[in-house]
Amino acid sequence: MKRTEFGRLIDTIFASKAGEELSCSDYFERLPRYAELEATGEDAAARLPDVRHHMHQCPECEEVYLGLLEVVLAEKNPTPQGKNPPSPPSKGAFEENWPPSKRSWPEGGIRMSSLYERLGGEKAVDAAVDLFYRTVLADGRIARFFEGVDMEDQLAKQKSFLTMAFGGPNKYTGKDMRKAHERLVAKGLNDSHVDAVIEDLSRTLRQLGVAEKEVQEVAALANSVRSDVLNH
Amino acid sequence: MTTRSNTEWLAALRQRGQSHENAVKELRQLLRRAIFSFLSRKGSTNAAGPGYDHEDLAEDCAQETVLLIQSKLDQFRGDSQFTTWAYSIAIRVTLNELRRRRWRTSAIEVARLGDAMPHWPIDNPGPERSLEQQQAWAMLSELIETALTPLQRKALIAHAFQEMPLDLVAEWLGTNRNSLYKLIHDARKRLQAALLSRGVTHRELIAIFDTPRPERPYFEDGKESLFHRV
Repeated sequence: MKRTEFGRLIDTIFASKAGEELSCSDYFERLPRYAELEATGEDAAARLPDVRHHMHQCPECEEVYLGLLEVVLAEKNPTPQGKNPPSPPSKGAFEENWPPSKRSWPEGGIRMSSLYERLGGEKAVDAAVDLFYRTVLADGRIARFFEGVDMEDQLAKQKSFLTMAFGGPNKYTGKDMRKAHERLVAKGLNDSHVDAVIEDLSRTLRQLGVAEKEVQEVAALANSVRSDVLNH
Repeated sequence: MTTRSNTEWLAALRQRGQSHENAVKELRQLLRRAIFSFLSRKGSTNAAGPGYDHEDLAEDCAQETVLLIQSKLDQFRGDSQFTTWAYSIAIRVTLNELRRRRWRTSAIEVARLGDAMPHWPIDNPGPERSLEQQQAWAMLSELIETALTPLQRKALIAHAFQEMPLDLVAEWLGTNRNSLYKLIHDARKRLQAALLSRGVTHRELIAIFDTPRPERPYFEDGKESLFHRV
C-alpha cells in the first residue's frame, strides 16, 4: 500500500457519515449527470454532494468517474489527431484568450515556445485561477485547509501557484514553499492532499480544453515542488 | 459524435430489425473508440496484459458493455446524454477487467486472504520509521482486530490492505457490491468511533503518518504527542 493510499484510508475512516451513504449502484446511476455538470463547468459537487462524498469514500468508483470525465471532455472538445493545437474550450474567458498566439503553434506542429507561452501566459493563468479555486474549495479531501482564509489573499496565492505550475516566471524558492505551507503541514497536509490538488488542477485544465500533453506537463511541474511543500 | 437523441437511441435499441442492428453497431463503435482512447491515455501502467493489446481489450469490453446496456435500458434515468450513460458503463466494465487482470497476477496467498494484517502497511516507508508511527500502526491494527466484526475485518483487510478489487471481494464473500460497500462503511464508522473514543483525531493521525522524520514535532502549537496522552 502506498503512503497516499494509506492516507486516503485514514481520510475515509474519519469522513464516514453517521447514517447511510449512497451505494455504489446509486452512485453509478447519478454519475453520468455529475460528469456532464463537471464538464460544462458547473459546480457538480455542490449540486450532487452525495455523489461527491461517495467518490471520496470509494476510490474504485472515483476511478470510473475520472475515466468518464476524460471521455466526456474528449467528446466535447475533440482534438484533431497529430499536429494540431488543442480545441478551444466551449465558453468563458479562456476561449477569448485561446490560442494565445499563432506563433506558439507553428506549421508542422513543432512546439518552439515554452509551456507557459503555449498555455497563454498570464492571460491563461487569469482564466484558469477562478475555476481552479472553485474546484479546490469544492473538493472534500482538501477544503478544510482553506477554512477561514482570506479569499483575495488565496486567489493571489493560487495565481502564483498556477504561474509556477505553468512553467512561468515565479519568485518562489524552496524555502518560500516550505514557509508558505508550514501551517498546513501542521494541520495534517500530506501526500494525499498534494495528489488531490494536482488532480484538481489537471481537471481544471481539461475543462478548459487544454491538451492532455500540456496537462501532464503542468502536473509534473506541480509535482516537482511536492517535497518543498511537505517539508520532506 | 452521435447525432441520435436519447429518445431515438432508446427507441432503436428496443426495436427489432435493421434499425436495431444499426443502432447496436453504432453504439459498439462509439464505445470501442472511447475505450481505446481511454486505455491509450492510461498508458503502460494499466497495460492490457501479455498477448492482449488495447484494441482487443476495447473490442471485448465494448461488446460486453453493449450487452449490459441492452439489459439495463429501463435503468437509464434520462438526466444525461444517453451516450454519457453508455460511456459510464463502458469505463466501469473496462476498469473491472483491468483490475481482475492485475489481481490475477498479484502474489497474495488465498489462505491469507482477509486474515493477515500487514506488519507495516506502507510501501517504502523510508529509512526512518518513528516510534510514534509504529505505535499508531499498532493501535490501528489492534482496533481492526478488536472493534470490527469478523466479516468487516475480512472485507477491510482484503480490499484495503491486500488490494483485492471490490467486485472480487463481494464474489469471494458471497455478497454483492452494494452490501460490501455498506459492510466497509460500517467498518469505517466503527473504527472512527473507536479512534475518537481514544482521543485520536483525523488531524493527529494524518500528521503522524505523514511525518517521515521522527525528530520533527507533530504540531507547532507545542501540543504533546498523541501517544503521551493515551
